[in-house]
Amino acid sequence: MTEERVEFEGIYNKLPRPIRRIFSWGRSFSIWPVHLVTGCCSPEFMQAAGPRYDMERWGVLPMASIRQSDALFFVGNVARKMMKRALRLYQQMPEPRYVVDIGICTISKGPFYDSYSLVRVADYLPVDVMISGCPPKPEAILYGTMLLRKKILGDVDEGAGKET
Amino acid sequence: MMSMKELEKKLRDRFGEGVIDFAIPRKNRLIIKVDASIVKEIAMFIKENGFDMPISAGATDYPKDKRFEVFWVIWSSIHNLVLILKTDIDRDNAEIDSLVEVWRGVQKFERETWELMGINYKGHPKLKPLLLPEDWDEGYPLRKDFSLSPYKV
Repeated sequence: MTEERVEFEGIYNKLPRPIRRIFSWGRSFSIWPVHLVTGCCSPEFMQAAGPRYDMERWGVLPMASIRQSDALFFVGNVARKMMKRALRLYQQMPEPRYVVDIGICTISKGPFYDSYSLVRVADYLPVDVMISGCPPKPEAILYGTMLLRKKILGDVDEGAGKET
Repeated sequence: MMSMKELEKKLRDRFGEGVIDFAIPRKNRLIIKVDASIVKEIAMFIKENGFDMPISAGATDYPKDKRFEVFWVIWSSIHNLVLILKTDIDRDNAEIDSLVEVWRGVQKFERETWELMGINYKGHPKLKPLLLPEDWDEGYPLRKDFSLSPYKV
């Protein structure tokens, strides 16, 4: 997985800077995430995607297929068994790919801090944006996607997929 | 419709000392504590008396007394009674007869208890991991002596 990433970065970084800027500009306005709903932060995500907050204003369209998506949103607590499956999903995503944590459970296991079955996403995958809250408000999720967009735009200078 | 007294009398007549305790904590609720060696015969007997639907099964850990209390919760659709069948087993040698042959519905409950509590159900057809990861080898999580400190963030 890491080798693929390095190879992609090599090709991407060889492109001239204006072209890279165009690429990432286009990418930043069409983040199509797959939301992996494993917990109860999902109603907040649904609200954020629904008509009231309407994430699609910024081009964030919840996607059904992992193979056509840009970002993987972890919505809710992730068990160890689920993490194996999530890793398989992540490997199927096209480059460049981004990972967003929604909710405190994915960041630090939250109220289940001593659970034997839950894991932190950051231990397994390079997480780009972490949205805290239990659950985070729809505004917070929108703010997180804004941060992700900023990060994608910033990739032009720093190189793709660079970790924060 | 059979009264609880009748059932108690039948059980005591049939099994004698095997029935350790017979309690009625509240309306429509029975708790029967029996000897571990005859749990299967008693299960057969109470099934014949109309208790046909298993609701739950599991176990409680008492490390100070060095015992597990294994229980099955059975509902009777005929008498509208909930019966809890309990038995004590040794903590170091946690083995008990499986009741899958009596009620097929307890299969998943017993499998879960086997996985999380480490109770070996003799005669169970499929003791394979159900909830935990396939390669789990870190002990039985619901036992009292299972340490959670390695998992703390």
